[in-house]
Amino acid sequence: MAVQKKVDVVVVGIGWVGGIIAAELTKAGLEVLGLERGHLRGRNTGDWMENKFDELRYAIRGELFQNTANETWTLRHNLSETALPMRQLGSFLPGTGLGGAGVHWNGQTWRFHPRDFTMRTSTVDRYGSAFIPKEMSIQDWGITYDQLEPYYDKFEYMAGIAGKAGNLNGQKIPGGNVFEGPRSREFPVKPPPDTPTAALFRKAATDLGYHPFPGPTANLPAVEYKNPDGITRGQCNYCGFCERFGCEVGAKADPTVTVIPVALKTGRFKMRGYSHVFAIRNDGKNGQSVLYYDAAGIVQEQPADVIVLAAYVFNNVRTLLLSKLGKPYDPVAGTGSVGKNYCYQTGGGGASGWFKSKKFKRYMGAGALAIGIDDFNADNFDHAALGFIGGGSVTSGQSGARPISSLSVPPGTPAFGRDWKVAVRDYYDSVMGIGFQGESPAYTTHFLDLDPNYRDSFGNPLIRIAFDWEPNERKMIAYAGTKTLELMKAINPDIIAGGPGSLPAHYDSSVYQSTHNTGGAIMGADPATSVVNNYLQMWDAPNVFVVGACNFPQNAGFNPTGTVGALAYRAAEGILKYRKTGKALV
Amino acid sequence: MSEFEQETEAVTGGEGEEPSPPAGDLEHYTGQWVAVRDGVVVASDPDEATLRADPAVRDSDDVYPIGEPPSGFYFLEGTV
Repeated sequence: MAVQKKVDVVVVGIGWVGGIIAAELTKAGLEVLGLERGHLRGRNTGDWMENKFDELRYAIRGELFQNTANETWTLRHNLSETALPMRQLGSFLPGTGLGGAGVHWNGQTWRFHPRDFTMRTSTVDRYGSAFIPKEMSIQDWGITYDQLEPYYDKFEYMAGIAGKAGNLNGQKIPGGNVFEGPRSREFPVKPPPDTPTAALFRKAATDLGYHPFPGPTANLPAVEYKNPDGITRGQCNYCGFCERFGCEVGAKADPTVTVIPVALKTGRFKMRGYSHVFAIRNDGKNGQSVLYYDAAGIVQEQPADVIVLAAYVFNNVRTLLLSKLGKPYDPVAGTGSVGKNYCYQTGGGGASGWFKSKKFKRYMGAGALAIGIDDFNADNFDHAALGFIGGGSVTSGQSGARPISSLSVPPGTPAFGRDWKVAVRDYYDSVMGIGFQGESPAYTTHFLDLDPNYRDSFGNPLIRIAFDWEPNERKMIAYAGTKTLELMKAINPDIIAGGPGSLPAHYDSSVYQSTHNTGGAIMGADPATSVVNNYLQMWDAPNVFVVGACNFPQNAGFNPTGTVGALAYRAAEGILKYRKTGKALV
Repeated sequence: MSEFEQETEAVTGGEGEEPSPPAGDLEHYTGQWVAVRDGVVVASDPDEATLRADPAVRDSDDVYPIGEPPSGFYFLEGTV
């Protein structure tokens, strides 16, 4: 094992979190090293020009995703099951390589609601403590929306997010999301105009008394925008190849076209690819170095004053567990926090409509080109008579219609043969959907630990996931389906599919649902019930910061990246403060 | 009768009788609405209204549908 030269800060994983922290710290004069387990490709958008529109290569075979042949996860639905490994990618698609999942995301950039950060307190205040199922372990974040707002703002202006404010400093603005928390200023970029399907959705939602607004997007519309770092990007050409693909014109904000160039320009940011971090060497009070396998599989040691775990949820938690840093969560004893409150995203409850005489140019689109309503998200509606907690965002998007996986046909159409071909011809460009993306509350039995049976290609235990659908979410999805169906009926297509939504008997890891995995290194105000404080600094090791969606105590009814970005800016500020004091910040 | 057949007989309760699913086994109810009390399915029916009208179902029971397993491709956001 070779010991490398000590650096000020080592960042594990160079995606949105690693890139933001590297940019902020190098601008402040620190020497930062980024260790990335994957490639360093994608440092300019030209890397995505060649074969960019190869759906089979990127979307189906998943060139930008984690390789499950080397490292995967095991799943059990309850504590009495033996977990089995996911041998192929399925329900979620973590990225690998420079930029991480930030390269192949869609670009939907939301802020969580003020209530989301105080979910337990707010629920008890409105409905009483008995309203919360006893197995549900939701908790407050240890930070409020108002405290996080400046960091949301920073992320949105860095990434050039397009949208329409619905709440400016407490004043509700029609046309924006009137349910959102107060913004200190308007979005940096105006939203794109409605697509034809968005116009249909807007009219139906308005007629029903709901509050439609354009979805906040990181797909830069047809305007020029220079961010506070002086970065400009290309304009979206609505090619429809966002999710699962890199953007060849840089219109989709990703770390490689925003924060990483800023960090590199300082001359104080270095990157090492194919460097697979597996542990933090520590004395139980502080981290001294990270241990990683280099491209040849040889263990290297990288000392640093500050260690930042900035990788995907599972990798951050696994590194803590392998390092024996922090106390592992024990669901039986109810002790420990590392691995606790693993959550996901509750999908389902959507509606679809097919039209015989409308064409939508669905081959054009962008990952976050959408319209939505927030009337049924969070606690924006009265749950007292509904018997469940939480809600979700209702959106209708036009993200492109690619040739392999975007062939939606009406119910009852045969799955192959002449009739299927006729239906594809007739409806490829004449279908629209309304989706529901629901909250995922935390439960005492949903958590992450190290699998006792299965190991990765280096011989280290895999992360073991314990997760299943619970009655609260089943009731939520059933309710959501009635609302999306109501909207679709108001739009009045020729054929409709929808109705009360349902979840299968068990969570199925084999089919794609969402890459919004959260929790396991949650933030909070109490060291006994959380892993990090509200600067994302470990309670048990002040020079170790763990940052990302792993910090969410439970998951909200929105895409997580906006909140992940805000937390990264918060952590960067915390690291600079820690460098001055050398102490715990909270 | 083979050992396997004996075991099957014991589980199904014999020809002509509806098998009794184990408590909490929701897979048996795929495509139906269920009423659940204390983690146990107390009644089921393909129709929500019929289930709620069932005298065995109390207002305090959790009532929800059990869906089909998700299909292979995620065609379009919102497609059911």
